Amino acid sequence: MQLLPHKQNSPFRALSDPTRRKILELLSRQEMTIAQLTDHFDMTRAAVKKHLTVLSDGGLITIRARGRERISTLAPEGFAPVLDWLSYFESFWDDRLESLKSLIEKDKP
Amino acid sequence: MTDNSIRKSIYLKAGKEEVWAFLTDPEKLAAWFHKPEKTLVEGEDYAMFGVESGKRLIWGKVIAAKPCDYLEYTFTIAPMGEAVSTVKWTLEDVTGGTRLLLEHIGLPEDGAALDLVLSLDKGWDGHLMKLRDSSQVAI
Repeated sequence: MQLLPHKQNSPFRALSDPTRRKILELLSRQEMTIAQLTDHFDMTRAAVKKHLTVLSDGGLITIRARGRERISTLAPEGFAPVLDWLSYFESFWDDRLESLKSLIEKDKP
Repeated sequence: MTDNSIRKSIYLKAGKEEVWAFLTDPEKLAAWFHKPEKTLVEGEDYAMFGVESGKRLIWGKVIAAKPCDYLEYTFTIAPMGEAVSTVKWTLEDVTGGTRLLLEHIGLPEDGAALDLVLSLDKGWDGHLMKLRDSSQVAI
């Protein structure tokens, strides 16, 4: 089992913002340049670029150069840790059961 | 394990009646899980709501409720889309307390759910941030 190298690079961080999720939604249909993506948002090209960097760091997209343009493409394999419902619920139930135990045994000797 | 299920068991220093109440009574569920509108009763639908947000978080139908031995309900959360999983609780008397067994079966297959993740609504931001902060994400 390998842990993520640094939490700043986590796909969860990449997903934890509505703009970035919207970008992923757009990229799930087709690859796009920064200019094409910027057209969909009420923000500057620089702001969009910042979001793309976070997505790229989280492994959810890849960015490659084509001439002077930068093309963003969805990287579906980067979603694996997020889509793993089994690990998600493993930790969910561990947390819940721990709460239950401390609660139910609170007043016990 | 490849059958997409989770099994856990814990030992609780409490009688079965008390444990049962924590699994079915709204006030007690609110303290460690989420709060349903009413007590979980066999054959009835249920929905659990966030204590702070008031949003519907988990819902399904109570398949079986045999006080104080066995509880089974279907379990869906919004990001799972239409996928329905099943949660089963078994209570066993043991010396000095109760052994509580949890089975969560029928979880969605990995990778089949890209659309679900992309459709996560704003309410999930905080939760995802919490997961991020735990940083114990196995890859």
